Amino acid sequence: MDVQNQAPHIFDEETLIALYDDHSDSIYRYAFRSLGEANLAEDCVADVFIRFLERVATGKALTGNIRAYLYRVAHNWVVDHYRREKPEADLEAQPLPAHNANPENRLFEKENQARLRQALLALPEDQRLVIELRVMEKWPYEAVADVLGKSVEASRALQYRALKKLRQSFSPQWM
Amino acid sequence: MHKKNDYHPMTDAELEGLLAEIGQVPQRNPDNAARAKARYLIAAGRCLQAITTEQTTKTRRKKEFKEMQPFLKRFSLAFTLAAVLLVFLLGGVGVTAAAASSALPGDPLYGVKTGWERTRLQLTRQDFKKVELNLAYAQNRLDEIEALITAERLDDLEAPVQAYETCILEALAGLEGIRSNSLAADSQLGRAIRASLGKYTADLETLSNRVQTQRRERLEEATLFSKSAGAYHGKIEFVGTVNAIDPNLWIVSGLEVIITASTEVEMGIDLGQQVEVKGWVDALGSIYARKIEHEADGRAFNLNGKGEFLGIVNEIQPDYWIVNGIRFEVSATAKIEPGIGVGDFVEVEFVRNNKDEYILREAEFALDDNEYYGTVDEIHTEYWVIDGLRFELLPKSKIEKGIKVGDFVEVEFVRNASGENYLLEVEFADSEIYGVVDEIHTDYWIVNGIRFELLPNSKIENGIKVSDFVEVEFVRNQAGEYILLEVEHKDAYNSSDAGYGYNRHGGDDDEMVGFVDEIHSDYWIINGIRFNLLPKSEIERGIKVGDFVEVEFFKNCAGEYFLLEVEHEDD
Repeated sequence: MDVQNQAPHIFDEETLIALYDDHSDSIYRYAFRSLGEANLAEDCVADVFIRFLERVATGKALTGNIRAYLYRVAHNWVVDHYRREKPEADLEAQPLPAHNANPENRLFEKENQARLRQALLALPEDQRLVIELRVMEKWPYEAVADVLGKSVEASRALQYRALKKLRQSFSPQWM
Repeated sequence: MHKKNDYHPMTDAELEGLLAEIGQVPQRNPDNAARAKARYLIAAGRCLQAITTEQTTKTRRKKEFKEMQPFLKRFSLAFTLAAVLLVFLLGGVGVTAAAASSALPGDPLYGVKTGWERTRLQLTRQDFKKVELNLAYAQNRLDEIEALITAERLDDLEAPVQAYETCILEALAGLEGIRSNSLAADSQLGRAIRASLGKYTADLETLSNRVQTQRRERLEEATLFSKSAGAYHGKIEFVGTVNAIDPNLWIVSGLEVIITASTEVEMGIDLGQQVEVKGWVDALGSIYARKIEHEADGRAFNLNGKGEFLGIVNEIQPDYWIVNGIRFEVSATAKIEPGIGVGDFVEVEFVRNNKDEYILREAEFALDDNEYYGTVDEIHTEYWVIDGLRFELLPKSKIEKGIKVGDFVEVEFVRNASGENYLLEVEFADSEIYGVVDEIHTDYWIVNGIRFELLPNSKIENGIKVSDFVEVEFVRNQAGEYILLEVEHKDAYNSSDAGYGYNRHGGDDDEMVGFVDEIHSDYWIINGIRFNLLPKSEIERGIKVGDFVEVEFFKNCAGEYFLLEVEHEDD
């Protein structure tokens, strides 16, 4: 059952279960990509859906796209996690070593991946979402546009700007 | 080979390659996914029950509620059953758990009770909660021990005593895991564990006195275990040669290693063999083994080249030390931590010269520094007394100016083999911090990973929610808990004046130049970086998207950028 574009009726048993079944895996993938660790990603999934239920329990209206809402909660969870972790190394302030598949440079590649995750987190929400859904999840533009509440062309432009910003954030000028 | 600073601008192909790499997600563990779903179902059941309860109190919805109630009950029940079924499948327990809560070892429902506890541990993902659960379960085991003694079922004592020790070990292991992530949480939890173990030790001593048979010995062992774990000082691992083996005490490379009922010893270890000892050291310097096993990796003291090892100081002379029976020449450049004496457990760094002599490069206490909070009782030229504990001063002791008797202070110190405390640093304990609200509960809050207990008279500004940036005023009680006195929203800009981690540059702002990408009412994006606006942000008139600007900003401890000033960059 596809419930991605409808606010669930809180008394609809099927909708609540289907919502979890439809979205938990994609939220997990998003969390894993952001955090790089399976157990943490599971924590994130569980908390995202429990927060969703807590919101339902308060009776506050859930406006807009449910999937976008879940991604937003997941994103906040990830940001909170990094706040709690308080990494000593400021990854954003470090230069990017050249990409190379040579095994000797795996350490640098791991570092790059971590920095890219940080850079993604620093993107504005809609840009981050378009990278997540379009580039990583390989959704068609139409589906991405639907989640973002924008036109297909606007979504394309958003992806262009997001990729441009990601490239800029790795530029040596940020040393 | 590329060097770390050999970089170039990112190409499209490289960026897409990296995105593809981090886009790969390994298959989700089905057990973990099932547990996550179980939690969701449990929460959904609670959510529906809460809605049901709320609705019963709202008379204006009576009619609607009347119509819904049968359905809600059915749905709530369905959720509860599904959750219980999942939990049952995962942990082997069901709804009988509640009924089994008073079961004792040997009772038919005891397995259900402990199975439910295991399930709760499995479903709990946060490490500090696992530690708290293990402490609670340790208390359950003590209650069972007491009930068994009262019922004179002494033959059933072994199982809860062993389980009690396992709970404590798991709590301590959990503490180790947390230690690497959050020193504040570690410090807080460490105190909680010590406070709990102090109580457990007293309980066990009382219970031991009620038992007159040979079972008493087992309870006394558990008491000893609690005492040692209660005085838990630090984890220890070392490699050495077995000099003596006794059921309760081994000697390894001259060090006494206490064996408890929970020590795991690998079979077949004999005198003269190399072993690795893992365990902990109590406040008196006694080593308690958690595990002893053969050492096959050659990590024992290396007689060639240079290296470092842990050992006990046998002798100290002006020009040489003897540690674990090995002589180390002491040069003028050797760095030696103040306060080390004969009998202390130390970490030694050395090199071997061409005369086959071992040259001591550095020696320091092998244990971590202790941290202690308390009120200053006495101040003398050679020692201080803080909360009844005497701390010897060293020439290098750092003492914050202005501290006087009666002040609440934070002390960093080491304790030597004789149990003497050497003061490394003493400073006023912070009584307020700035941070981000992580969790809000009815009886406690978590801010910046630190748990603050609420009191009935704690002042809480209205409207504070999770993720808000706040100022917390607090005190610490004797048990080391943080007691929240007042919490209020903190203006982000002003908070940098406080110098508490809000400006990572120690008060110096950063500057950069770049192109304006986006302009919003509460933030700007410049060169792809988001800068949050502050009430005091100074913005030159006329700047628009695409302009080249100079930005003055600072970054807080959460990694967020705050804009102080932005103006056109003429150059």
